[in-house]
Amino acid sequence: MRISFLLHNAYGIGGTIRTTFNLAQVLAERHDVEIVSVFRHREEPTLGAPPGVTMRHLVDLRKNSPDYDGDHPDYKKPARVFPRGDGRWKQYSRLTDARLGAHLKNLQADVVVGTRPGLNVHIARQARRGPVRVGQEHLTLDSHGYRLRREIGHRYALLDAVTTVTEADARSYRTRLKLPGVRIDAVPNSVPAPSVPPADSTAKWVVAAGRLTNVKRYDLLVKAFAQVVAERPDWRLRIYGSGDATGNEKNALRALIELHRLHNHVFLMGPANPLEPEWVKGSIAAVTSRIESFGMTIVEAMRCGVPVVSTDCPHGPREIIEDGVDGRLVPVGDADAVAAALLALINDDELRRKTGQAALAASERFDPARIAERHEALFAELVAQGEGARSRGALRDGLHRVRGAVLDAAYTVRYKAADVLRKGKRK
Amino acid sequence: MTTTTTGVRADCTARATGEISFTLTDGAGDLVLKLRDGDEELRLETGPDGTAVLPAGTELAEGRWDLFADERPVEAGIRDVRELVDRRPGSGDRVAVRIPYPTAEGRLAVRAWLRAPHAEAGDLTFTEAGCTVEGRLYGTVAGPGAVAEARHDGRVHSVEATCIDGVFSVTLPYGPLAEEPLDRERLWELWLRPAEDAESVRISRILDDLWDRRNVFVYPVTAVGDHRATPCYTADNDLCVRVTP
Repeated sequence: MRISFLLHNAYGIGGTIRTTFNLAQVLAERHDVEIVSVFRHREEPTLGAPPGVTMRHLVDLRKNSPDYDGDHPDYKKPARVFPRGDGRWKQYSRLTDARLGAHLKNLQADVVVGTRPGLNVHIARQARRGPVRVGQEHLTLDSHGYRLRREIGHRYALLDAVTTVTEADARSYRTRLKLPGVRIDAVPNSVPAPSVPPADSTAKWVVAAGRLTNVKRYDLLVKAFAQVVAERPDWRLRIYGSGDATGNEKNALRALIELHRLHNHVFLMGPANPLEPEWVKGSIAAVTSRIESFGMTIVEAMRCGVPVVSTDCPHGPREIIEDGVDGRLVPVGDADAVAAALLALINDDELRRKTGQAALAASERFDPARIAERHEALFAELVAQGEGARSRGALRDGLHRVRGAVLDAAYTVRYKAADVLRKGKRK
Repeated sequence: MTTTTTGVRADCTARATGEISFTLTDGAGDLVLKLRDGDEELRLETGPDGTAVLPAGTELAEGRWDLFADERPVEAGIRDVRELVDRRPGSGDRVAVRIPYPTAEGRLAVRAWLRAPHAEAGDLTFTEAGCTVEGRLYGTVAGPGAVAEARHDGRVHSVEATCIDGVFSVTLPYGPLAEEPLDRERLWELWLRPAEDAESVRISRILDDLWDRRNVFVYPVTAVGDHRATPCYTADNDLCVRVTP
């Protein structure tokens, strides 16, 4: 098969980029695979280009490049095709509308795969008839605002398949949206086997890693760890990560560490890449998030043989961890429960060792080779069905697009009205 | 961190014994360690499997050593330094530490310390007007008259230190360190004199995997009159007390 991925920016750092690279690399062993990056701002992908995969870009933002597009007049004009509800809307433009449109109209592929809602909408609206259209959801339906959910509910009817990273999110797509004829499958993210030997459960360290933002609830972890230290002062905690555009809890966490007099026990390590050599410095990993779309760090730690104590938050953790077997699930927002679960593993060396071994074995199911097989099977099945049998018949497409045009006009009027109202309020 | 591609990359594994094994990209040539602020060089033969080993017994002078393969700088790959995390070196008269680390440019370097004797800082606790440093003394035995010294700009403040079975403890009042007039920041270096007639030893924290702990080991700030005092580490992992007006 010829498989074409569409990625927002293949040159940055992020979970979607990493998991797309992993998938593309494995598929490239048997198929003709390309990754088309909407933007390119540097020479080499930060995460390293996946071997065997053709890399292309649509909008060049390398300042020293002869093809620099940053000065193009359309680059400053707001996007019309890329949906406003997608958080990246501001980065898209009339130029991306046109470049993506031209790319999708001339697509030489059997399967085209979008990796975020805005790009999935582009595929639904602009891809030529023929290639199988797959939209990947790397976050969750719940995490999108009303406007984007409405647009997804309408546009995704023209996709052949939507893949989510959890069963929970696949259920949301099936029950909350009307997408007749669109295949909705859950395929978890993949994590490769680590480049270092697994942890041996003897280090007296708990490790956590993620953005220092409110959703990760590291404040809860610090409070829980105060209880751990009261009983086991020989154990310590390292938290890796930094803030991002949505916030930075570093100073608040420092203050909390000082308040609980944990400066000898809890350390904010700053960012680390790769994380594998850091996970193996610990014997237990902790995740205290309010929400985890998937829970990439949980799988990463488990692949390093480190058992994870995680909140049982929506959506991913409970689909990764089997409570009491290869890790622990505790109620969301409950510091006492986090502390108790950590102490249970800290106080029982044999339980900790066994749980780590179980985590190592169970997490093999997330190996890129095995995850890629699931995507491959889905793609192959849809390609084999042929255009006529899929939901994307020419007639249906045409009808949907006419209906779409009418709705577009209606949406536009409505959003403009909403904007006027909002602007009015701000004054 | 920005990464400069040089074509040669090395993964490495550091052992608690001091040994470091490097695995280089194919055909990279021998590995050469060069002391950044000196002329010293050390060449390690790279085997046919691309590995080069810095043996535990090969001494590295204290400082930062940059790595080269045939004059090309080496990019830092995976660094497995887990064995360094809670290191407790055996008895011996000197403590040798070598931590492989990535420079700001993403190149592989080795931070080496060589101390004989050595005073390793451990936990810090705080009183209303000062701090207590506990730590471990290596390579010498404490005797009568042990003191800790805070040194700044030619001035020395001494306080009594207790040393029992290689564990030292010092309670340092901040008051004398914040003596008037204080118009700009003072960085007091902390030293330990294990006995009345012994040489003073710099108090540092070097027995783990952190080559620079300035932003990781952050301690409470205490008000001393109108001034503020807090312990901190330098870029060389030496313990200090910073007093700011």
